[in-house]
Amino acid sequence: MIEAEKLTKYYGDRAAVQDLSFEVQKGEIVGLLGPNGAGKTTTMRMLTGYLPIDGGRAVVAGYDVVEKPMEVRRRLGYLPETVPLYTEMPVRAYLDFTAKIRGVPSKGRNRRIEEVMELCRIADVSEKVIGKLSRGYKQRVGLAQAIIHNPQVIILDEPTVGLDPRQIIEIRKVIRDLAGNHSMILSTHILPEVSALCDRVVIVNRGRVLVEDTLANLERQGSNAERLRLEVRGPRQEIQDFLSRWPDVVEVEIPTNTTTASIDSQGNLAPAVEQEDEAAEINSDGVSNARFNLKVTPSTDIREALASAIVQQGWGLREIGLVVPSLEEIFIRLITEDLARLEEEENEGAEDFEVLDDDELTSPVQVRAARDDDELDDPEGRVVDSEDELNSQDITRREGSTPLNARQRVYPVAKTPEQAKRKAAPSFLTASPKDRSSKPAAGDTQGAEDDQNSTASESERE
Amino acid sequence: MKNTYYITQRELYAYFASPIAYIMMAFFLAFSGALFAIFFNQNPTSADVNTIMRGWSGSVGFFLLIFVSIITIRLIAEEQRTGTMELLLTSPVRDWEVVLGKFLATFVLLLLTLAFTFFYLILMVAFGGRPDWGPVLSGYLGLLLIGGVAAAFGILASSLTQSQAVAAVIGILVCIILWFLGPLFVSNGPTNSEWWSVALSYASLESHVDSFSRGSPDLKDIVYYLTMIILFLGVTVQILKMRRGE
Repeated sequence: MIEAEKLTKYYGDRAAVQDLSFEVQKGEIVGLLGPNGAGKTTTMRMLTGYLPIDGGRAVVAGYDVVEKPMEVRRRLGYLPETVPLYTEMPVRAYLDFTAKIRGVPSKGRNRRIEEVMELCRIADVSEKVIGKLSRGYKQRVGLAQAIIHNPQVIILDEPTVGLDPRQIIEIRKVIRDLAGNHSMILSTHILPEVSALCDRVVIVNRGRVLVEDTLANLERQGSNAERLRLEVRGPRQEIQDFLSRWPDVVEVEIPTNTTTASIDSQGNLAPAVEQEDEAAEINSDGVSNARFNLKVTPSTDIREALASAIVQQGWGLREIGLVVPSLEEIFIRLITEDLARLEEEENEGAEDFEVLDDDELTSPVQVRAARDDDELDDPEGRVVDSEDELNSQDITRREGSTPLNARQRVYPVAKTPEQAKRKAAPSFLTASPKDRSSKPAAGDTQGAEDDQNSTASESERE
Repeated sequence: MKNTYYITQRELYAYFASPIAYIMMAFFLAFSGALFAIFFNQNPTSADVNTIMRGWSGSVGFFLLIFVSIITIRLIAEEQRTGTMELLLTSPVRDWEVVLGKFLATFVLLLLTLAFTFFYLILMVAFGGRPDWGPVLSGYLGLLLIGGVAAAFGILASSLTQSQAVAAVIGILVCIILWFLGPLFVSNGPTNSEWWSVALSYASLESHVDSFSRGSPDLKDIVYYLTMIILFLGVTVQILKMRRGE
């Protein structure tokens, strides 16, 4: 029903969407997922024909968007991010107008309006002026205009943004009711929405498709690195030692759910983790309830063996289970990987790399990565002006076959040794340019990788 | 064409849902009434009804320009700002249908407003005046055409910006310039026959009014006004195409 083929859109010389391809089958709900600024709205606007397409092709309901725009529009319902409402009109009059311009025949038009108002649960405000309605009602009126002409294809741009939880549930109900008869794309950056509504997910970042898959597949993929959740009643330290000795256990983590530090009765600042330990010990006489997260070697299931062993030790096994990674974790991992890939690409093509400017630093992960950089180097650090470009290219040539890490590449290289000293650069950068060229780049790469990992785990904890 | 009608309908609805249309109509009618009173005082016998109407229709055009400029500023700027333009341009409606619909709605409002000025005629006929219907009606035709040009330019100005204030300033300024181009150069009289002077005075809205209020509309004046309307509306359609997605 919807085919996007290498869609491309430039804003100035920056590609907002590049070679983006995906498909939506009849009756399917596909979630277009991505951080802010990933190109979701731009993609949708190209599919609706609102934005001219700079490259590639879009076919909606069997018609090419560029060649047969009117045919496409007749078969398309669209709810833009800013709900297009004439606030001075009552709901019924507004829907009557949208029905007319969408070509709903006058015979049966009123019946259709009633139907849609019923479906979108706005019948009770049909005579009220739209400007006076609550946010949730407005959003549903917007949804009603998108489906008034019973289109084959429905495109919803962030249909639940700015709504309270109850309103979100209502809107989702409406969307679910629509499923089956219509092909639907909905964009969101709220992940539970995707689990709640979509058959398939297209994850985009930097205007490209990262993954296009079913939700179940994605989750299966993410659960390769197996983790166990464990709650045992008994002496914490002994249990921990026991678990670490278990052959298939790679790592024993103590989950820290309380992340806020607090001030105890003596007025001392109590760090969060300690506080939890204390609480665990207090709640039973001498014996604690200990919770652990175990990282085990992939594709092994040690649950039964571990359970019986714990029971044999005389401890109380309260809970044992697999930790299934949330969609959030999968999503953040994918975006982070993509960021790393971007850097690799830049390394390979040092001659024609893409300059990361502020506009592009839109995803939370990217922004955080940039901030990490800022902490590491001096204020000019992230600015890649033509001089720095030249410098970084020089380095690449000097180092010959050793590829430079992208992060390292954007560090400005001090022009003189004095400048190098003056700058408070991180340890692996304090060496003068000459030294750096003779040293193997392995250490640098390691450092950058650690940095990358910490970024990822930081995001995961959130 | 049906879509144009739907858009016209909605725009008229919007006009009368907001106080702007009422306020501006009231202002226009107040100025127009004052002008009428002035011409009436100069010719205090009802037999002079034709002189009075001729004077009135020849000079009320300027107020009509201001009136129309102000009521049209909202038309596209507002839709760009609130995002409803995205609704129109992703519906099976052509860009020109949107623009024409908005123009026609303004034109209907204009007709309605001018209809109120028939009151002057009714008054004079009631007191024994004998209006010469030819010049009277052609005077009204001239006013409608001037109003049409102002409406078309107002819509054009409105399509240039999301800010109504900016649209208003552009619309009114250009209308004033278009109006005074003529008097500025014609006042120099036939002595000034440089080509640019002739061209500028020809381009002026005001220099085409006369033939209408005299009762013998010149075809070239009608063509002039219609050309201006079509030109401005056409440019608006192009601007809409260019500004998509902003």
